[in-house]
Amino acid sequence: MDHFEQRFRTLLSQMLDAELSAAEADELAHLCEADPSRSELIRIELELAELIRHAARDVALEGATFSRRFAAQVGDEPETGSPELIEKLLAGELDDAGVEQLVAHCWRDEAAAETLRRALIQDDFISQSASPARSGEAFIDALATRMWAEQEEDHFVEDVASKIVRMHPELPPAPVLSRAVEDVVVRPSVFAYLGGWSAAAAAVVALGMAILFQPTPSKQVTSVAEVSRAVGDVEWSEAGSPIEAQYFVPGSYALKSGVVTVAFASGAELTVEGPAEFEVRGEREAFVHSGIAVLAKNSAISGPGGGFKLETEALNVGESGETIGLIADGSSSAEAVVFDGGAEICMPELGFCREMFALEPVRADLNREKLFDIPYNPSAFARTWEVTAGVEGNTGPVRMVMPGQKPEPSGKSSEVQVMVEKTRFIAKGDIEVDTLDPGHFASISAGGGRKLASGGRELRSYLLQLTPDGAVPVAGAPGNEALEASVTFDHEIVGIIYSPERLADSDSMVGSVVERFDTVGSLTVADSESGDQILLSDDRRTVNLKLRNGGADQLDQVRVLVALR
Amino acid sequence: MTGPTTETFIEYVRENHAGLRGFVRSLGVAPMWVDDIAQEAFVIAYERLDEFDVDRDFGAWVRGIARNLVINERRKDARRKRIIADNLTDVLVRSSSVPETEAEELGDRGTAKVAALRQCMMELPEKSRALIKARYEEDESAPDIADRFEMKAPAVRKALERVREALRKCMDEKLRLAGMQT
Repeated sequence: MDHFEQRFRTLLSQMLDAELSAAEADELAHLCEADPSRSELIRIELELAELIRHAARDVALEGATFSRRFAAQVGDEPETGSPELIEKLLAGELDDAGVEQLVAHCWRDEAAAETLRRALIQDDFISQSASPARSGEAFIDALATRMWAEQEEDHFVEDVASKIVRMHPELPPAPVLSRAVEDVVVRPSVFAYLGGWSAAAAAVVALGMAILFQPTPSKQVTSVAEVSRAVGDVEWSEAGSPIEAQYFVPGSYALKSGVVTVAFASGAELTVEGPAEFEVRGEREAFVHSGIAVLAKNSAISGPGGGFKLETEALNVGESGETIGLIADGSSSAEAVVFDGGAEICMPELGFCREMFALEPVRADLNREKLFDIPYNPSAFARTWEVTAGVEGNTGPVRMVMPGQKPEPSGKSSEVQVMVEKTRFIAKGDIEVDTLDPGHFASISAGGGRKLASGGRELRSYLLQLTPDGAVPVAGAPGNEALEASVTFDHEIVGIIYSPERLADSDSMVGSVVERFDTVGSLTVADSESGDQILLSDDRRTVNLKLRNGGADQLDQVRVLVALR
Repeated sequence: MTGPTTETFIEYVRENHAGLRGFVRSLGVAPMWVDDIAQEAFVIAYERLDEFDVDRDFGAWVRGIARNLVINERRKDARRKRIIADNLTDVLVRSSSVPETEAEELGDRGTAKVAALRQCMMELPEKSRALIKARYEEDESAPDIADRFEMKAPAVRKALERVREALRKCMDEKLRLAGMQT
């Protein structure tokens, strides 16, 4: 079949499916002019189409009977082998013309349609077997969450979960994060509680087949989130505590004090500072009634399930955006600030939304029925930001720099200021870092380096910056004693950079989001005489610094790279 | 008539989800939307649980719901459709027979087939397993797989076809040995 004939067949199919545009109709007419036999074929096909239309009206012609009658009307053999088309369809590589051809083939041949359906079923079974994301557990967990979300007045999941908790109070729930870490989807669900997997699977077991897809025999609760970090004096109210102060099933929670990060199975993290009241509604949804919270949606959230929904009484945050802070007052107003990425803020009660840019704060007030612009003052988020930023702890004069703010002299005494330069990135090439043996203090001086190959890992970069107090240093003079500080991160440190050249070289790769300290005119690393020292802990989580104030025009900087995964 | 309880519904889901998902796919639903539609069907089934006669086949009932959902996809605008193509779904829907012939095949047996397939996959040669993993777990296209395995795309397609056929035979054999007709 030549190109024109192939095109004619495609257009003919489109016409029969009422999908022919005016331009294509013209094209079809030209093709018929070139070969009158094509007009005849169109006439036959239209007659047949009318026959089909009548046949379709007849209920008795549904299903196989219909197909048989239809097949009897058409005796043509397909132009292209259907196995080839089916393979392409399964591979997701069949173009529109190919689909047309396959459909035409199936109309002509009842068995072909049946073969295609079986191939699709088989393909889906293989997909269910091969892909953890499509395992039975994953499907049922997602279904349970969806049912909970869509049946708010119904307590389908809650009822079952609470019943199981009552039945087995001593049994711990499943840690949801282990799934991501181990890359194995074996997450117990409320369904699994009620005993084993399907009867069919049981039949297979009975027949001596070792089913790889073994149900978790333990009786555990579905948790959609868990506490991944707890800082300070964390205390939950008696009625609003997660299971074992760790695991969250959909429900309401009340944090009396401390800061916790709630890590959802979807990948999002909500850091909440007590006192706060909030609801966990599923893997991708939370509601903050009161308190301060920072949501790090994490770009890992993707797929058909969509993004993460965060709501308060007064405003909702749409599914876009990366890092968002919220302050809810428990009734009619709430403040929101987008720390990273754009986001849509909506006031559902009033039925309007607004696109927000990074570092843009707003207040929603239901009483006044307005969304106000307010000054950017992120200090209220200082504690939650520290936890969100992945700083587990620090000693000495250390201060976190909030998004949108620059490191600057404290005006009182020297301190180390820590800022997140880039929340997450994958290096496009090797990064030259300074050589540092864990467990040993080393002088901060120009020395050997090594290439850090990111290997596709997501990294986060921090800048630790000694901000001077402005005093002119005099060696050995009182008051010019070393500043000692340490910062502990919640991910493994994979590279440290302190030499000026490597700091400058890595600037473009790391792409600091905030302009650095204004007085940086001559970035220098204190030489060995100054006695500045650095230590990377054995577990590669903590950086210890002994720094001397180098004077107003001298600044010590250390860039720390951690691997997020 | 008293409808089934929540616990019974949970059993229904466990027994029928694998088959229902296969059925939904067989109606020409795009792979990424299969589970979405299957879940939607279960949600609707749960909402209408009072209408369900426990003496009937739940699998057939929920397949009927899913079938209607798929038919409704035709009425959506192209951007929101979850099916591959209208005419493909037409021919597949019309060739399907929800309650009668496929009740056994796609009901409880769906889960058994998936279980059998899992074992069959473990018996595959390493490279075949890697191909299946790349295609189904990592959702790579044939050209992408070809790049990774230093093959040509048509060879990848052919290899996948052979692996699928081997899996089908293996699954059939296991079910036959188990006394289950395929």
